[in-house]
Amino acid sequence: MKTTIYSPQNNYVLSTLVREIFLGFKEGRELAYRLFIRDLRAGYKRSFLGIFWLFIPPFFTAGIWIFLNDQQVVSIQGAPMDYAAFTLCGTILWSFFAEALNKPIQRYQSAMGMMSKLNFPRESLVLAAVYDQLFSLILKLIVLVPILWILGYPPNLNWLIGFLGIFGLLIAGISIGLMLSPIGLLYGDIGKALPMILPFVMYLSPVIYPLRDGGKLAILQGINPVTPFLEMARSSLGGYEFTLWQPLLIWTGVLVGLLLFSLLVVKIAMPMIVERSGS
Amino acid sequence: MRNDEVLVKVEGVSKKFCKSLKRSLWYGAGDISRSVLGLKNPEKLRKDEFWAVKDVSFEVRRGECLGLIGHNGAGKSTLLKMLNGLIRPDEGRIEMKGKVGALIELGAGFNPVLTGRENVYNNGAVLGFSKAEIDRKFDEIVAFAEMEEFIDTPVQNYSSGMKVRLGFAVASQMEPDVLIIDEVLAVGDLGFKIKCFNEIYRLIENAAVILVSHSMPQVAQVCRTGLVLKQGKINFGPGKVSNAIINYFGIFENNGLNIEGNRRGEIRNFKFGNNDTSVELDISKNQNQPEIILENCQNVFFETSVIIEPSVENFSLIISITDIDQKVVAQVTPPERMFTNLTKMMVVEAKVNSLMLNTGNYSISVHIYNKSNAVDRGEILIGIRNILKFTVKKQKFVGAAPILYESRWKEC
Repeated sequence: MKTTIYSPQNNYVLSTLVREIFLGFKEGRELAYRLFIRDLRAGYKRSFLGIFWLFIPPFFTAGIWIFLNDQQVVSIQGAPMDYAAFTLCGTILWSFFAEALNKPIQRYQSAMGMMSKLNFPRESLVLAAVYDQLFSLILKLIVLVPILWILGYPPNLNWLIGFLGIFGLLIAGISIGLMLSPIGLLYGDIGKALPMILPFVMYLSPVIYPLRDGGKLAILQGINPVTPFLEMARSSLGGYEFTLWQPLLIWTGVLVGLLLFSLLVVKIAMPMIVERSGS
Repeated sequence: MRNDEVLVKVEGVSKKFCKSLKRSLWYGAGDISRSVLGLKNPEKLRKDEFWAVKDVSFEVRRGECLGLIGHNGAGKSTLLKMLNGLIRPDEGRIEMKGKVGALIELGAGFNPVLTGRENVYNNGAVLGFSKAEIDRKFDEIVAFAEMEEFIDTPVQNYSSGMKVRLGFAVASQMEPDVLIIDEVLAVGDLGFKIKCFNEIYRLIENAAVILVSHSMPQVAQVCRTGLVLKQGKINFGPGKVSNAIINYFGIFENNGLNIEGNRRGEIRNFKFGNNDTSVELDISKNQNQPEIILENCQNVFFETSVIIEPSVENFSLIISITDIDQKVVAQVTPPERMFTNLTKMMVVEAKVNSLMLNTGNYSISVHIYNKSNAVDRGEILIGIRNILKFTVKKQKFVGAAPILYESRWKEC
């Protein structure tokens, strides 16, 4: 018979924690799927435009930039592909990352009432966040692929490499989001700051303009984990050369480490969060 | 499976809580950082902290039901949360064997815009059922909840009773080794409550059960052992549930007498007893409830000394006997007779041949009123609740009902 032992918060054994996380993912698969389906069905049932809300924001941002670029208000030179396709790819990929970053906190917050009453595998919420993002990706591709085709970028096998980049964006978003969750769940400040900071970071990243060779933006590009993955995805979609192999490898390593570490942190922190912010 | 194995083992468990939200969050952030870095968290109480649960130990075996009782804020729910693994103890150790089920929140995971059908699956998934299991049990769940007609209606259109019924129907499908029950026990209307109870009895037969409830008859009915918490500490037990309940009521005692009415009269003295023993309370001198143990309830008398204001012409009185739940179980009252106010100290005595009360604890309340007509009870001139309490001790254990008729039996 399974024996569970609860002891004070500082008596953790790493191997036990890792095993519990692994089991949590295993046992939480079905719940994660249910939660995903539940919120998908419920979320758009009461809105007239329904799932279109998932496409509208990136189109909006991309539209503004295409317009401004057309009118020569701002002029962005040297895009390695058609500027409209370039910004559309950029903003859609960025919004995918930004959503992924927000998802863990949102998932935890909406389940806080349940977490303070019932014991279910908490990892299912992480998994549900991943499902949410995979679904959102499919919707984004449904929009992006035909437009790229029209603009002269037909689908090809190279795009498969692009998916690796998208996967990297997902891991980056989820692990940064997980890392922010413990503090973000205790204090509302993170939730308030993110919508303000994320667009700002977007303009500091090569989303609506191409990679820089020099200057301050180039330095920021170097310390930005989103840059290599976004570029990898976009370059294979747009058929131009990808040059950031080295940062890509470094950031992949860092992010995998961050993902594992953030899962551990959340595991340790969750009982303390439930104790202090659960009802 | 051995029938007496210990499934729940709680050893010296303590939990700190913080009174101030700001500090609580700050301590939380600190605790999380320290735990992640592998540093020790402070063991002593920090500013604004207190022990919500302190040094609690007990064991529950399979087939045993422990009643966890205590006033609001005594730490019961906190203890349950630790048993359920939602929060960690600050001291001590909890060992739970087997599958743990909780009847704490019914209908967790329900989404109001989705149908009852979808929500049965949502709720089931949160409780750890697989889709295949729910598929198998679905008809049974719906039939139990008596929701066949509305199962495809959004849950937001359900009445609150319907929602908990559906929630209970899903939750009762659990087959736990350890069952944690917090208050919810029985929900819905009377008919459904009976169904709930039957279901709960079925569940607890094969599990180690911990039950939190404020309803003592419920606790007495379901549990064999009881544990009383007071300000986070064990006040009694674990021990026999009847003793636990007596201890629990002891917590509320000696709060002084509860006097009501328009005070146009005054109760000076109250005396109660039988031929062997009696107890007397002089209200002006003593404000505490005296206590008496009766081994026989034959020829009992109640003697009330009163002074009534001259403006009141006549008066009557009700002596009521309440059980430990403050439920009135018996009443002694003059049938028609009114007493004429003599505007001086009057002593009124009532004699009862047999109280017919079962073993247990009772208390007496006296109310004096001026009766304006036969139907209307009139105004309460003075009333004292729980003026004194008494314990009836019968020779044998004689069931749970408060009244025990004297009867003659024969074989026909």
